[in-house]
Amino acid sequence: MNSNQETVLHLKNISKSFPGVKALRDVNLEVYKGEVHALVGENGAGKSTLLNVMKGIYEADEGEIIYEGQPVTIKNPGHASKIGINMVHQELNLVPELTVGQNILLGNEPLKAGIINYSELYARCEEILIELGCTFSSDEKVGNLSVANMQMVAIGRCLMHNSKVVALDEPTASLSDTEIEHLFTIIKKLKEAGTAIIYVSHRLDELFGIADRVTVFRDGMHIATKDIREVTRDSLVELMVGRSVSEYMAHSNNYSVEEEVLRVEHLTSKGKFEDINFKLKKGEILGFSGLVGAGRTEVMRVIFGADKYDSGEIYLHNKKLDIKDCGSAIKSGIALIPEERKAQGFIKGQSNAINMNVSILNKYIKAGAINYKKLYDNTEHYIEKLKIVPPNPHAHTDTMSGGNQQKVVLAKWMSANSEVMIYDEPTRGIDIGAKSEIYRLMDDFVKNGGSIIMVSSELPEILGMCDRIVVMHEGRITGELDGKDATEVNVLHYAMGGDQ
Amino acid sequence: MSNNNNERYIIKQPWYKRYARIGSTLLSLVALCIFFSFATPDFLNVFNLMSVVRACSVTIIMTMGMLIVILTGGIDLSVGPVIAVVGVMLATMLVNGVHPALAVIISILLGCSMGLINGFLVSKFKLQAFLVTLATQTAFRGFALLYTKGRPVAGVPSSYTSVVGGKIGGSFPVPILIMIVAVIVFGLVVKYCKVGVYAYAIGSNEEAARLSGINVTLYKMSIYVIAGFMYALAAITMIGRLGAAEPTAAAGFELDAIAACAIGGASLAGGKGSVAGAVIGALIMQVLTNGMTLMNVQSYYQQIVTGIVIVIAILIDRFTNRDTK
Repeated sequence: MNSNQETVLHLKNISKSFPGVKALRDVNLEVYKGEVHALVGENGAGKSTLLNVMKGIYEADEGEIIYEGQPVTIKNPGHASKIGINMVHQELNLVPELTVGQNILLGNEPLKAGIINYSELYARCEEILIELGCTFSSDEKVGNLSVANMQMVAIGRCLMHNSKVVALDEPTASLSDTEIEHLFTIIKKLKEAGTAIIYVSHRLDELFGIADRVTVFRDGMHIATKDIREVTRDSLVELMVGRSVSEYMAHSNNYSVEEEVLRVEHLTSKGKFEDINFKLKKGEILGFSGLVGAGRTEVMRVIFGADKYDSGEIYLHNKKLDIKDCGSAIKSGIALIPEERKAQGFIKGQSNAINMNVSILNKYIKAGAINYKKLYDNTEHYIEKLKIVPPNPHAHTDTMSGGNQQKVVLAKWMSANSEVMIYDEPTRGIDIGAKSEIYRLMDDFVKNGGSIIMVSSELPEILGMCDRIVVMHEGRITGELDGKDATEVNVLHYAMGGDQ
Repeated sequence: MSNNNNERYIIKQPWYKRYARIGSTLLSLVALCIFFSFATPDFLNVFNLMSVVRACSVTIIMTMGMLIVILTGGIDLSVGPVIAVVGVMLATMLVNGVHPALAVIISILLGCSMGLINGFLVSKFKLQAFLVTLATQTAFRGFALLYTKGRPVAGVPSSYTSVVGGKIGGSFPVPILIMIVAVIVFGLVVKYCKVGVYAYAIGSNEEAARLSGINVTLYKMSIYVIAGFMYALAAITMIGRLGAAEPTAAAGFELDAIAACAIGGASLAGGKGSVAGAVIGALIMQVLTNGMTLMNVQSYYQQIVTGIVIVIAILIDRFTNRDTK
């Protein structure tokens, strides 16, 4: 494989802080020429931050970057591209309205007397497409391509720059098996040409087919770098988590009374999900599992009144609910902790005090005016109760760490006296310490008579926390399991569309 | 962490941090005044300062309307024509002997309904505020011209101008009083009423606001109505001072209002800005005009300077808000 072991890029002793969180502490990453170097770690472990430092998007607080034997200061992403360091972001960052050729040569358009020479542009693009084994045309609009093909365009852009280092951030997240195979062929081709690949992925299993070495990050720290042959899937997980999963998930089945809180009957939203039926009991954590795109989030948004639906009924304590908008759902005691925390969970640019109380301003209004003293009392109460850091009611929520942001969102719904909390990917982008606190708060909530629906794509979380598990596949419920009987295997069986 | 040492666990934000932006704007205004005091002997006296404030009373009142729209992330380009429509209709009513109190009430309703048209289009159909108000700007102006057949409405009875455009105790101009009361009431509404807090929330993140249970459509609509109210109040004050109304009046006022908000720290992206900042912003622009006029600076140069000041203000904002990177 990589017998020569010539270092092409060394990120040395890198540290980086953001307001409220230390994202990287003294981290090292050494990448050899012609190797596929996997970078793994949980959400919030610091992988993206490091890659952004490498690309010149962030400036490191400490440490240096040694590239081809020379210390370099990477000023901005354009500079990084120019010297041969490129990255395919998970979001791909393409311009959908432009053609494949225009995208691949964006910023490098061949000119003739100051005018873009399109015949040369498309000729050069075709060369790259042939190299990548792509079948679509270079004058196709990128917006019309499939995700897999868009990814090829993004990779093509890296080839354009004669990259020596290419980072791929979750490249297989939305690809089918055959598409992944094609991607791997291309990665191997790049590798043979001497390009170093940094490969970030959550799908541990696929690493064994493609990576040469693997580096594990946890909580912004470098934990280990190993040859892929030295590790197993389980040993990787242990390195990533630092302790076994069951240690920090604390929930035991405690709904002794079979009291139904929420019942959903034949809920249908055309094109999103169909005929959804389930019940939620008092004091229970009900898990919703399934692959990305199975329609779980869409169901939850309808129950919360965020989206409209076509047919079906929702009952709360056997009373039919007429949910017109989020406001009426909140009044009925339903809360949603959304998946996209930054975009939907809290209000960016506003203080913790506003974010925690924005849904319940009515409570503080006396003679038409907001009583700020009461509002701040409530804010301080929850800052203390949930141990929010920094403990500052005036701090803008978006400047804090993911875990603390999530606690602010929780405080909002606790203040609103919610009875049913719907958690959508509750621990995404949250470090381990805060994760276990969120789990504890969930447990407290159901012990005190609340009920929780948890949508999660992380199986350990579903298996560790839920009393019952509903599994969805392509907009339908394909299975329901008792928490005690659920295993990774039978949950996945239903998630892939298997029969009951 | 027990409950009784609550005081120690919670960080108390130091006051100077919270008022840093507004403080620096205020300081700029003071610095500008000091500069003109030395640059021209005619600047620093009660009469001149009073005329500065009086001259921008109308601007400040309408800027309040613009501010709350900007807070939601919107913009209102129809300010000038709304003021013109209200102005000509108010003047016509007064000339035709309608009781001033009734005429004022009708004017306010008129301003609110024009705001409602903007708000309805923006919130109900989720259209871009810039385009909607660009369209209504043209339409409202056309309406003002049609209503007056393009001619000014003169001869507003002195029973109106002597009160609204007059002075209290023979020295304190009523327009300033209207402005001060309007600013205080408006400031209290923004701070203590739901609509104010929601304006910030909607402007910062509309989707998160909706998922927090805020009826975004309703509040956005109300906010444009409130803005229309303030424009009508500006028109009412203006007619009191001028005693006549022109259908072409108030052209370009929306730009003054936007500039005042921006100098005062408002972001056109929404969610950021303050009433005090916008007031000081309007004062800064007026002091600049007044001071330079007293220094006999040609008005063309004045425009260039005003432009530069706006650029400086937004540059300051850019570099004091680095956390957005």
